[in-house]
Amino acid sequence: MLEILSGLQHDLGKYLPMPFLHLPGDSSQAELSGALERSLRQTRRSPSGEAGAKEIWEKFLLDAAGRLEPAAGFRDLRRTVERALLWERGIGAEGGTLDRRQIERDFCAVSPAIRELMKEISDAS
Amino acid sequence: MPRRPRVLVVDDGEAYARLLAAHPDEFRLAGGAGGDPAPCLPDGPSALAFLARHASDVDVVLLDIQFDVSEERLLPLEPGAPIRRTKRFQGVAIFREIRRRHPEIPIVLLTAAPDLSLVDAGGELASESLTYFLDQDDLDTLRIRIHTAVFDAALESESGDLFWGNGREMRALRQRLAVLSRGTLPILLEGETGTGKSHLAGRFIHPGSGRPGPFVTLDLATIPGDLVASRLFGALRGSFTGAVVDRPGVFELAHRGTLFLDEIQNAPPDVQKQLLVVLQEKRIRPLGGSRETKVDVKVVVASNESLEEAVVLGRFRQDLYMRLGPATRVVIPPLRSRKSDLLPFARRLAIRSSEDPDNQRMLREVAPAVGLPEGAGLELAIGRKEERNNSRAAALVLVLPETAWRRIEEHSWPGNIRELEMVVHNLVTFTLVAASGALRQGVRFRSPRLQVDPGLVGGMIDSSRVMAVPGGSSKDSAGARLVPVRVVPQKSLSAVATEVERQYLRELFERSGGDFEVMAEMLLGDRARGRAVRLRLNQVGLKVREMKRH
Repeated sequence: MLEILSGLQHDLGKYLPMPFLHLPGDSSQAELSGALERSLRQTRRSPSGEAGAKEIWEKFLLDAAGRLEPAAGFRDLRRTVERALLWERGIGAEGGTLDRRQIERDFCAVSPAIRELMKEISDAS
Repeated sequence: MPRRPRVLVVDDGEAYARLLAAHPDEFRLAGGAGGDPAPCLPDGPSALAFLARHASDVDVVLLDIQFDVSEERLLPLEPGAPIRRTKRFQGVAIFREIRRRHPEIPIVLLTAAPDLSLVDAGGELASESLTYFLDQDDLDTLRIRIHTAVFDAALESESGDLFWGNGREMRALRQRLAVLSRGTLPILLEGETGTGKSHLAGRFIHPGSGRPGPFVTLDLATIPGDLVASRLFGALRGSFTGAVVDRPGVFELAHRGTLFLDEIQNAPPDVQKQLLVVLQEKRIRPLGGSRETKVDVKVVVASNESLEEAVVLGRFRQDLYMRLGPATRVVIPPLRSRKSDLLPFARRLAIRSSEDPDNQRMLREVAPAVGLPEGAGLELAIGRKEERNNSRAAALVLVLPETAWRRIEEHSWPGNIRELEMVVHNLVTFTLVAASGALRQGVRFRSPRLQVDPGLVGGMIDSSRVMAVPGGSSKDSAGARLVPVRVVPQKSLSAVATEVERQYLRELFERSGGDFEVMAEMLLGDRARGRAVRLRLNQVGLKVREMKRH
């Protein structure tokens, strides 16, 4: 289980916020939208192909196959990831204003949540 | 050190390469072809192939841990590892291969220590640079890690008359000491006898502190207990029998400089209390005096045993220990855990030994007789092959046969560098004495290469075997090993016995450097029974992997 979580940490926790790391401070709304698309839809790019955040998360849920349900940390993680995935609505949206700081906060919260769950499982084993 | 390090990104995605490419004034990316602005190599084979041709064009490798690549592009991780696991920790396999082929290239791993424990690589990578993106600030962390790794790799293994060795552990220790030297807090050095604690304090910490005052040293093991306080804090005339003049203490003498207190574990209990007050208040009051004097001293203390253990045993005050900053204590590794440094150490020590006046005199006698110029130096070589390949033209070469060198490598060096120094010094002296004696008897040599008598090495090592208890543990009069154990109430006598055995085995494990053969020799008098010892550790619930990590 720890290995599966460690994989999630790598694919989602690490790569989700990365497109925002090298955006200039004064990025336009279009640039933010582009970064959002890279974060959520091209989260993990490798020679094997491309995977979006939602796809990575759903594959993780399949791999975990319900084994994490009793863990308190899993409920927190699920909430955190689902909140991050909601930003999908912001991709290409017209007229709205993307709150960069809030996006970053939501994306950066995923990694600590995974780590907390890893700790909980590790302590319990 | 390069101003703009050339970074080779080994990653199956281009995200990190793009990050670094956004800082062209800070980094250059290696591995690019066809003008790719953010080049990266996607797997182990391509990274190794690139390094085979262009290793000299790379200052640092930035290596991811997980690689989602096809099976035929994976390097093996461990026997029987499933593909999924091999992919998940492919970076560790790549790391091992790069480290084996290009040990000089620093590597920054994009992972966190807890991940590495999943693949049993935590200990292996303990002194490597690790970093992981957790939030925005970690981009800066990554940049710092890259620059630090490049800076570390650029450090020479020697500086002045200090030899740091080639190991990453010593590099990390050097970095840490350099930082601690500059601060005002005390430094706690721990290490077995002969590991060079006082040398480090005087030749590295004090000069690095930038303090204008002197370096003053006091060995608490050499002073009678009732005189320690007066030597530390000073004494006024008449304060005790024999105090016929006012005498300053070492704290006063070291004002604005550095005070090195060796063997601090020997400080008597009342002195420990006084030391605590002085470290807190930065004031001293000499014996017999009523006025306090302010002192500004950087304090470095050393102990050849674990002070934490001394605290547990009630021999050292916990509050003083905490004041000495145990969190930043520096543990100098024993020589037996620095095997790769043995040869360079021995070479340096041979050169130093040749500078001894008596050896110099004999060298001046022998060198011209074999056609070497006046002022020729001396060097040590191992085996005849190396002797021919590496020796300098203007040096008398002492050739140590390979069999003798193997004995040196296999020895546990309980006296550490000090013991090695004595052995090398004796080898040089004995060889020069023999050559000089032969010359006087009319023997003529043609070659500037003298073979060291291999029997000498064996004899000297055998004579030190009596003290070759790893960790310098003490023995009682019957020769049994003394190991402190802490007895606390348990639910049953059997549980108490198991706990005592656990502590005993753990201590022996540490003292032997985790070597089961050495433990088997200690416990059973038979090195071949290491497996039985390992099994016993498991039976009493000691996890070898965890102990190694600590």
